[in-house]
Amino acid sequence: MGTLEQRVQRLQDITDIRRLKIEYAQQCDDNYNPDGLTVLFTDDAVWEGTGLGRYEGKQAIHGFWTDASGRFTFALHYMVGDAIDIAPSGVEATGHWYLWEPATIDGRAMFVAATYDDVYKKVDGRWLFHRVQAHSHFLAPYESGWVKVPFAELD
Amino acid sequence: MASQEERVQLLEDIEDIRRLKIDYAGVCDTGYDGDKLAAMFTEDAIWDGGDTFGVHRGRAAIRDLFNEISSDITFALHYMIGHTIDVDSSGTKATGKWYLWEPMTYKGQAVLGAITYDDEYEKVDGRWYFSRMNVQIHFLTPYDKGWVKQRMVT
Repeated sequence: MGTLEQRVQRLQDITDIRRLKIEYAQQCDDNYNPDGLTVLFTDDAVWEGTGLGRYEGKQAIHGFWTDASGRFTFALHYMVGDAIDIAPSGVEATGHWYLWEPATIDGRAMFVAATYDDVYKKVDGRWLFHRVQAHSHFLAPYESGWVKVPFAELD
Repeated sequence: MASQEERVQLLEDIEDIRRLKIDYAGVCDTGYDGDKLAAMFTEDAIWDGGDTFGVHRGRAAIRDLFNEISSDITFALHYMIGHTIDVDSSGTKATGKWYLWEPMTYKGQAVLGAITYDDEYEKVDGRWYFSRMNVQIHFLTPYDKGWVKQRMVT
């Protein structure tokens, strides 16, 4: 159960991590701002996504976002349904999220549906992404929907 | 104003109830395991899906409902949004309202679902359960039709 102090700390940590994810969404929707996104990750963080590759370390992650900003010319990241667990150490945590994302990718209207499995670390009192795993359930052209075309062929 | 202990307890209860709903979504989205879903409800809980899905009373009926649903809904993502949760003064009962946005594959068709919930929760042995879930279906529309042309999929 923990002391009152520990219980309040846990609630604050959950709120802070939720905020981290929403700020990530905002940076994505600011044309995938590579600098704004990269500062949200630990130095040795890993970002990986179905069909999008695996990027280890801040430099690789920065490069990925730079590339993304040219191809995803519009996106809104609706981050929903967080399930966040703080480890007993109080400096590590995991989170599961849902993403609904209307986007323009390579000039085409798309609906993206994804879930995330994240790992967070608290560094110098601030929560950062240590690992982001994005699982795409569909990346469907608006015209066809996800049954006819679950994953659009990207250029 | 309540004591600090009571105020922290309220925030924890809201977070636990929120998590209960998200965990429910997670089990729905990984194949609607009837046993796992039924275990989130009190013994005498009611799942009320109105005219579309019917009224199901008790854990066994709720388990059967979900085991059956999974044959028609082969893919779904439950985006649970916009909760208002009120814990009553006893600290063991609560109510909640939610929005659900649900893209799904129903009988082989792409379908968009727009749903709201009125839930009731009960705390039993320190753990929150659903005691009632009222499901209001605003549309379950074939993706290629839209909700004005065809509000409910068949």
